[in-house]
Amino acid sequence: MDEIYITNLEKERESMFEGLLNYFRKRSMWMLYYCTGCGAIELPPTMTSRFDMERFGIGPMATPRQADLLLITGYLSQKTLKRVIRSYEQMQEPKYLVGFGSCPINGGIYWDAYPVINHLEMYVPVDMTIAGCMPRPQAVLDGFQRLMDYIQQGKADGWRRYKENYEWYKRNQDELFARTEPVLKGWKDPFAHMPSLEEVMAEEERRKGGAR
Amino acid sequence: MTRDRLIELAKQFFPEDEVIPRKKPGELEIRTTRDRVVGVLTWLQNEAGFDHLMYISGVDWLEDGEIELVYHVYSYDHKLYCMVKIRVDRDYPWAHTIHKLWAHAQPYEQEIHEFFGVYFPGNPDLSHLILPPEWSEAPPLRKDFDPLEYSMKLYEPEWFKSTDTFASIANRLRGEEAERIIRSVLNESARLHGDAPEKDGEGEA
Repeated sequence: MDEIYITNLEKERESMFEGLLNYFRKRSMWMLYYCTGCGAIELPPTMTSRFDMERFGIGPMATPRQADLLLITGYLSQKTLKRVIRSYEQMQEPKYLVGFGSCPINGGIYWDAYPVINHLEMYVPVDMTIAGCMPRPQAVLDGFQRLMDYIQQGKADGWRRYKENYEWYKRNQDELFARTEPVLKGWKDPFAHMPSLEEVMAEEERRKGGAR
Repeated sequence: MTRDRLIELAKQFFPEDEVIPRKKPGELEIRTTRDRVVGVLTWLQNEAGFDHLMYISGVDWLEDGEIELVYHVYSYDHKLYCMVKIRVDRDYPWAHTIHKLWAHAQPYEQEIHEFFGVYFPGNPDLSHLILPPEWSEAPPLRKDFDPLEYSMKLYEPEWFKSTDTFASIANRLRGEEAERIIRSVLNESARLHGDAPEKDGEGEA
């Protein structure tokens, strides 16, 4: 009985108030920018008087729990991705994630680098991406306006996709963070057991003797 | 102390080592071995007035089968810059720690251990500093580590390459169409991961 009630409420809410709510949501966005790469340098001109982001109702916010919009400005390494996921999961719904620049889309110029991930949307849902290396403030504002359209139309529902397909995202995340086997084979650390100086010197002697 | 005087002294103290003036005035280079490097550095620090260790860098000489460690030391008193170079075997690379001479050599050695696999017995902390803690690959700055292969295997798996329009399509389409595509991607990934394919209707919203 509870289930039916909740489902009905959900449907009711979606049909009746979602449009109205989306209108307010798109007009007041608090933005949290995760300055991992070079993209952060484009944000001050976008925020300050010349391009003035605030006329669209977008303002900076200090903490993830109070923000609606998470900007990934630039390349993401494995280590920072872990923190991004943590920040994203802390945010209140509805929340939107914007991949900013080429690197979150397909790796950009770091596509062959070992620490930098290539596709951000494998690990967290991306609502909108702004291409460019780096995008100019005009492109950033254009992207934000497009995001506002998406929000109004109900297309920016990455947070819902994240909940519905959590297994898929979690599996991709675990491939990075919970892997037990090395990706490339053929490496064995001769010092894996952290030997002492005496052990190292004895092994060195043994190797020299073997070579002769 | 001038550079010529220092070279003279160094040759006197370490007759077995090469002491070479570099092209730039005020720079010199001492090529020594692993067994003598601590002595050389101690002498430079305590006797010759080289009070500052700038950095320890590593060079991978793949053809020679050796890894070179370069200790950059600088003297504020004499305005002299000295590079002390040693080479260690690539298959079993280790060197003596100098964190008792300069305390800040500890993270430098930690970094060399991380990126070149050179081991420093006696260094108090050789855990991962910059690389992620779950890193279990070869040291990434060695020349035989292939970053492209690593990146392709880990960040661009085959099943994702074949469905690279997934995100863009899923962004544009809603409802049953998106559901169908996501389901197909899930099944595909499950197949490639060797898991049982997911049942239809499971987890549907």
